[in-house]
Order: sequence, then structure tokens, then C-alpha cells
Amino acid sequence: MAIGDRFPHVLSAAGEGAEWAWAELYEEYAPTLLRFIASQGASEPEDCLGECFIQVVRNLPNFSGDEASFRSWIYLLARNRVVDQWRAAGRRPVTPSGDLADIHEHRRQSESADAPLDRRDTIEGILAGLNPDQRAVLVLRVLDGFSVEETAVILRRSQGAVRVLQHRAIKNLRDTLQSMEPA
Amino acid sequence: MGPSDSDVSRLLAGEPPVDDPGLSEVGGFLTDLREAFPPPSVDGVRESHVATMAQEARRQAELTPPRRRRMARQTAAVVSVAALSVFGAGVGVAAAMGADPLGLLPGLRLGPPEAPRSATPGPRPSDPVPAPSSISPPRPRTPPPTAAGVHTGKPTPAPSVKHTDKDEPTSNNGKSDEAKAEHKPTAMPTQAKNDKASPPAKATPPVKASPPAKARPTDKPSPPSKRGKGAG
Repeated sequence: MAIGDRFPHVLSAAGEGAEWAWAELYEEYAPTLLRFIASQGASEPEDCLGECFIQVVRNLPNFSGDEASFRSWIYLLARNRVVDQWRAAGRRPVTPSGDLADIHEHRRQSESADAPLDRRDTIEGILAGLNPDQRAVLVLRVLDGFSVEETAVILRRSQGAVRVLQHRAIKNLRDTLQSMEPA
Repeated sequence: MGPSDSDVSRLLAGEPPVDDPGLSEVGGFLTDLREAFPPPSVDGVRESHVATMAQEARRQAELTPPRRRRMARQTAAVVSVAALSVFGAGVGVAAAMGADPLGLLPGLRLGPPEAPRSATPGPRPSDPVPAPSSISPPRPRTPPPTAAGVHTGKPTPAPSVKHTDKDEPTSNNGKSDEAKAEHKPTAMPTQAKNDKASPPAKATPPVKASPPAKARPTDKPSPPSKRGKGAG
């Protein structure tokens, strides 16, 4: 955790409305949160990110815990925002690849890309074969490094359900990758 | 056959599988996933988002009273409710026993105002003496005398009825209106006495109307000439 020992002080200052504290929290969590939101198929990931942080501000008085708990908590809020968007649209997203691709396209145009676009396209295509919950588990566990327990909190599932989801995700990936191998 | 729990945990942690070598391809995919999707930039929206957050935080801070003040109010409310509950229970018990519940209250006088000041400790003994208007309308409000003779040194417990805190209901510990009228806040009596004292009572502090002893400074009579008249 980048904030580390200073976290209680930063959180306290944020609760009192200190802009510097909110800027620090935003700097720490916004990028990865945006990645997660985009991976979940949000129609406007950056707008959803802003709304998520507003929810953080409003609900901060109800939060108590350490930095790890705070991180899980804001991801939970982000997940809730995305689900609300799904319900508003009357659907669940099948693939978030378009959103991720847009974000990275913009990034690629402004700075050098870390990986070829075609590689990302391939990866996104493979991820599209997973259902939203399996994809969420993979992103949270692999990209964001959350534990099974933390992932369960974010997805509002039991730890057993998370283990089942990740198990099925891995199995589906294996089957997809094997099917892509040349005969 | 599906992947083992051990292999799944290892793969998600970025380690190669052990039980099923066929999962090594999945491991490679997950490594590619980490490299291909680093956290995106938020440069384009950071400033607006942070400004909005700070504005909302300030708004929230204004809407929410300070925790300390809130806790103090809550504590006072709880104490008041508890006191009223105890009083109510006592009245109920007394009534059930056939006794006059109000007569059991210490210092409560429904008859002649001999003991105007009840020793009944109000729920807020430390509160400043509230305006007298709620007890005796005619009593004017004048600055409490600071003279030594006014108080005997021991602050009289403020009558609960005088409490003016907006969170607290006005009560007179069950005293009747008569008692209320005779009852005076500690700080008031001194000047109040002289002020409101009927003209003839200038030199002789009107015992009946207010707490006698400490309240009747004999020096007062001099000024009273102008005061007594206007006291009303």
C-alpha cells in the first residue's frame, strides 16, 4: 500500500474535507479502480469512476478500518455502481473489451504502449469468453491482487462462491487456449 | 478433469502449476494479462474529480455537526429521558400506593411559599440560570449582582424548569404553577427580588416571592428606588 502508515492521518483529513487528502486517495486508487470498472463493462468508465468517488465521500463517515479494508470497500462501491448501470441498461455486459480497448487506445496515442495492441486484443477476446463474474474474479485476483476473502466482499459473494468462480474461470481459459492451438 | 485448487491458487499468484502441466498455458496467459493491462492514466479527469470530491466533502462536513457536540446532545437527551422515566416511575408507584405522588417530591410546596427554593437537583445543575419569564412573568430580567452578599457561596441547584437548552424540555420537577411562580432561579432572585419587589418591599425583601436568604441583599434597597418601580 503506497499510503501505508500515513493512511489513518490521510483518512481523517479527508473526513474533514481536506482536498489534499482526497487528492492523495484519488491518486492512489483511481487508476486501478478505473481498470476494474472498465473490465466490468461500464458504459462510461471514467464517469463511473467519478461517481464512485463521490459515493466514497458521502459514505466515508460510515467506514472504519485499515487501508486494506478501505481498498476493498471502494472496489465494492465501484462494483455497485457498475451493477446499477447494468440494471439501468436492463442488461449485463457480455464483454468489456470495447471499453478496455478505448482506454488503452487513448493511452497509446498519448504515450508509448507497454504491449502491442494486437496482443491486448487477443487477451480481451479470450476474456470475453468468461462470464462477468468469472472475469471480475480474475481481474480482482490477478490484476489487483485481492485475496479470496477480499474478493468475496467486493462481489458480495461467499468465499466458497469465489473459489468456484475462479476455478471455473481457469478451466474455461484452459479450454479456450487449447482450442486456439493449431491442430 | 478440472484444475486442482492448488494449481488454481498458484496460477492466480503468478506461479507455475504443479499438478497439471497443461495449465502452464493458462499461467502464460495470466502473465500476459498483467503486462497488457497496467493501470490506465486518469490525467484527463483527475482535476475535475478531485474538485468535485472536495466540494462534496465540504458539504458533508457542513451538514454533519461536530461529533463532540452530537455526543453531548445525545448524552444530555439520554440523561433527561432517564430522569423523567425515574420520576414517572416514582409517581406511578406512589399513586399505586395511594400516596400523593407530588407530595413525595422533596421541597415541593403546593401551599404557602415557605420554601421557595426547592433543593430538588435538576438534571442540569450546571446550566446557567435561564430567564425567569417562564416562572414569573412580571419578574424583569436584570443582570445578576456580583456582590458578595448576594450568594452565600454555594450555588443553589438550578431549578430544572429554568433550563433553556433547546434540547431540553422545560419542566419544574412536577411542581404546580403556583410553586413555579414562587420558585426562582438562583441567579435571579437577588436583583429580581429588588426589581420586581413591590414598591413597599424595597427595604424588606419580599420573602414570599423569592428565595429569601441569599436573595435579599439589603444594599439593594437604595437603588431600588428607581428599580422597584420599574421592576414590574
